[in-house]
Formats: sequence, C-alpha cells, structure tokens
Amino acid sequence: MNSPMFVRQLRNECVKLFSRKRTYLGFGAFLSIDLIILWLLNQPFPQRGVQSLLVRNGLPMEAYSGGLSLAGFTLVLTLALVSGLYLALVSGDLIAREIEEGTMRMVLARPISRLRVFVIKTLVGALHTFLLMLFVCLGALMVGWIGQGRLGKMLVYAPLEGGFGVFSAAEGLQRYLLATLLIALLYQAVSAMALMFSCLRLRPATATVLTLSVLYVDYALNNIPYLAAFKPWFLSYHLSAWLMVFRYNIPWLDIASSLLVIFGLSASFLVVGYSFFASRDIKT
Amino acid sequence: MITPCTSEKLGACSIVSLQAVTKAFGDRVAVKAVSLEVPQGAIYGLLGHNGAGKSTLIGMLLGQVFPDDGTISIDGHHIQQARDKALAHVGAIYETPVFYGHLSGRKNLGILCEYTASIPKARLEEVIQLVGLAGRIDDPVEVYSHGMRQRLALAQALLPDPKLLILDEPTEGFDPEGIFETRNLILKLNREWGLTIIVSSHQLSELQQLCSHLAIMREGHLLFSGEWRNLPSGPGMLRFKVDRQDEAEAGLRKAGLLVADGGLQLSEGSDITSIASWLIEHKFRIDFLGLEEKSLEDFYLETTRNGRKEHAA
Repeated sequence: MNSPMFVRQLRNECVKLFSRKRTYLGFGAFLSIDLIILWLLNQPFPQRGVQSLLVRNGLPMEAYSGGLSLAGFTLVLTLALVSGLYLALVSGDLIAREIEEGTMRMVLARPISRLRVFVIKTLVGALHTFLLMLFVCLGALMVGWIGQGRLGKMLVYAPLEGGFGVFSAAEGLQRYLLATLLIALLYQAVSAMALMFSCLRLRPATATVLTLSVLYVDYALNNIPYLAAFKPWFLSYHLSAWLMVFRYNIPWLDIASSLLVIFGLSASFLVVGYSFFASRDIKT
Repeated sequence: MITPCTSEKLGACSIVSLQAVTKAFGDRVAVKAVSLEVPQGAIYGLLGHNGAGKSTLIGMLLGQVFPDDGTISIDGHHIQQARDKALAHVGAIYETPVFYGHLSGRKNLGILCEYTASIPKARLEEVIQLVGLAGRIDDPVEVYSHGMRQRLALAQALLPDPKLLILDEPTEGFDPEGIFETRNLILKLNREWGLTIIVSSHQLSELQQLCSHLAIMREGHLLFSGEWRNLPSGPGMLRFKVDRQDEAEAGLRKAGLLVADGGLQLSEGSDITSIASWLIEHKFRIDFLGLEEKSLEDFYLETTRNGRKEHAA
C-alpha cells in the first residue's frame, strides 16, 4: 500500500465521519447521563440510599462521595447498554449508509480496492470507538471531580461482577485509568460486529438494530443465574472484564483471556463482514 | 492475455472489450451475452429504455457489479482480475451522482480523487472552471441543485485526467441550457482532449448529436452495436434549394434520379454526385444540396422492432 496516500485516505475518512452531527450523539448522550447521575446523587433520597449502603459496610459517606466513586457508578450503570447503542449507530452506518445513499458507488468508481475501503472504514470505526470510550470514562471522571469538588476515595460496587472495591484516591485513579484503557479495547468488538452487519444487504438502521439485539440478548442470557456455567461463552461477560481491575488482586490472566476472546471475535466479525462486502454488487 | 491499447491513432484499437457478458439478479436477466468493442477515440452511446441493462453494463465495466459469465477488459486489463489497472485512466459517473452533502464541493472532489492520487491545485481549478462551478465550489453540496451535482460529478470524473470517460445519463435533470453546455463539453473532450467516451441515455436526440457509435439494448439483449450513421438503409431523402425549384424537381424525376412519386427520395442507383452533376449541367443555381441525415429515432425504432420480432421467434 502507498503509505502517504493511505494516510490521506484515512484522514479523509475521519473528515467524513467527524463532520457529521450524528457522530457526536454518543458524546452528548454520555455527558448528559454524567450530569443527570451527578444531580441525582446529590438529591436527598438517592443520597440516603448510598449513605445507608456505605454505613452498612462501615464506610464514611464523605470519603466516598467524590469524582472517582461517581465515575465508577456511572460506568457500572450505563456502559454495557448505552455505549452499545452509540457504537452500533456509528459503525452500523459506516458501509451500509454509504451504499444506501450512493456515495459508495462514487468511491468505487475509482481504482481503489474494496479491501482498502474496508480497512479504512474499520480503522475509522475503531478510532471512533476508542475516542468515545475514552470520552465516556474520562468525561464521567471530570464531571464527578468538578461536580463534587474533589476526587475522593473510590468505591466501586458491581453486583453482577460480585465486586465491591474500596480504594484510596491514588490507587482508585490508577485502576480507573487502567479500566478506561480496557474499555476502549474491549468495546472494539461491538464496533466490529456493527461493521459486519453494515456489510450485509441491510439498511443502516437494521444493522444498528441487529447489533443491539445481539448485545441485549447476550446481556440478558449472561445474567441468568442458571446459565452461570456458560458465562465465558457470552460477549457481555468479556465486555465487562474491565471490572476485574477493581478486585483487590487483579486477575491478569482472566483479563488477558477476555482480551484474547474479544480480539478473536472482532477479527471473525471483520472477516465475515469483508467477505460480504467484497462479493456484493453495488447498484441501486 | 490482452494487449493494452497503445496506439495514438484514434480508432486504431478497442479500449473497452466485452465478451459474452451475462448478469442476472435472481430470476431477472439484466444483461444477456453482450459482446461489444469500444474503439479508442469514439463517443459510444448506450441506448435503451429504462431497465434495458445500460446501468448494469456500466456497473460491470466499473467492477461494481460482478458478471455471472463473460469477460470485460479496459485498456487491456481484465476488470475482474486487475481492477486497479483497468480503471487507472477511467473517469465515471455511475447512476445518479451522490456526494457528502454536509461537505463543500471542493472537499468532495478532494475526498473522491484522493482515493487514487493527489490532484494538483492547478488541475483542480482548471476542471472546476471547465464544468462551470467556480463560484459555488466552496458551498456545501446539500444546497446544490440537481444540475450542479451533475456538474460536480463530471468534475470528479475528469479530475484524474482519464483516457476513458463513462457517463451514465449525464444530462439527467439538466435544463435545456445545461444539456446544450454538457453536450458541447462532451464533444470538446472527445475532439480536443482525445477522450474515448461511453455515454448512456434514453434520450435519442442527445445521442444522435453526440455519438459516432451505438449499442442498442432491450431487456438485457444487445440488438445493435457499431457505427450507426454509415449503415446502408436504402435510398435517402434529398434536401436541396435551387433558383427554379419546381422545374428542377420535375426534371430530376424525369431523369430517373428521384423516385417518380416518392417526394424527394432518391431512386435506386442515384446518389448526391449524379444529382449535383445534373443540376449543374442544366444551369441551375444551387443554394443548398445535401442528403437528409438518417434519423436515430427511425433507426432505433426499426432496430428494437426487429429485435422484438427476433425474440418473439
């Protein structure tokens, strides 16, 4: 591949994606969610609930009501379901929308291979996923920090993971940043799945809905107690591997194993997606 | 192995070659065993009603639609095996042109052209001037009229400095002035820039004024391909103006050069030279003398009717 040309094509693809308003829907939505959770946690009723939870566990409320705890709550409550929506919305559009609107015809009238178009789309989708996930994690932290006026100690309560982590500000921040990096890597699988559906003979909205359907069904099955033995077979189990960094002894092997599964799944989604994209007729 | 077309002489070889190309979408055969050769330097018209298979054929030429059978080569390269080489010197408008509406015309041109090569600024400005978009090129495409989008499509097709231009309904949606300008531009690109041009349309008058060669399609079948103007189709019609018109017409009929009761139709064996000689010999002052140009409409109707009969048989 001609490298300078490839970089230019990648830059142009970024211009196409990041100059569209809908690309920023996810960023706006998560900022709103952060602000709503901040506001809710400062209302008397939810505050009493959190206080009673902390007191029951012998923890002082004032120590754990800073930005880190708020960011942790936000991620645990919203990440799995809400981020899927916005990743699917953008990655599900990447190829399907260009084919539906007809711009793909213009692109492929050039002597550019479908493989190169697909690789560029994949990289831009991955970049968007990475940036959105960084924004989600760091945005939640910043909103909590600014809103609560301090970073504070960190309390992470993850009932599905069975985790209940309590950390000093420094350790909490370190673990939070590690979780951020993991989230940005793990959620590439969602983006790759949406891109795969985007390559099928489907409308862009259908690709998004299919991705969400798979995610939600998988999430529901993963949380059925009777199926606990099958957890490693579910995507959402591996997507939540970031929560493991909040265990006192971080299970690095389990995290690596989940990352490997996610990498394998993503690669499979991309291979299937490309094989459809490469063999389909592009015509109105 | 196909040898690339390297001759500089126009018409010396084929720049596009299709051999028994077939494509079906489900049960519907869109293109059936089409073979044709497009000579270098020609303006080659693809003519047919909506759904005749013209756009599918163009889609296959551009490697966007995969043929079920047959081979296609451009400039000596098989499109299915070496698409990048085959399309290296091709500019195209395929179906209705669509752009990234939220970006400017200039940005759209940049994005589309940088899929293959960077375009020098001077070349960009030259082409923008040529298609008449100089004043509006920095506006977002979403505010462009249909005609302006067609011009932008033409610009993106011309930017890579192609040898072959493939235009799918290039004047669709144009006002009469736009049609006139585009037609002149196509002729200029062919005559002055030496481009081979394949143009599809269902507008007979447009193709009549543009094309040296034609492919007439109907329901996926190729009914005719080649130079349509030079076809023998029986005696033509005379058009002339002399000082003593009635006397001249009567004299030509009496001399057997015009059919006795066929208006100004030439009789069998008669031609424009013999008529000119007769008029000069009989001291007529000739203001105008010529044969009525064959109507593409007549030719198209005749071909499609014959084609239909063949299919019916």
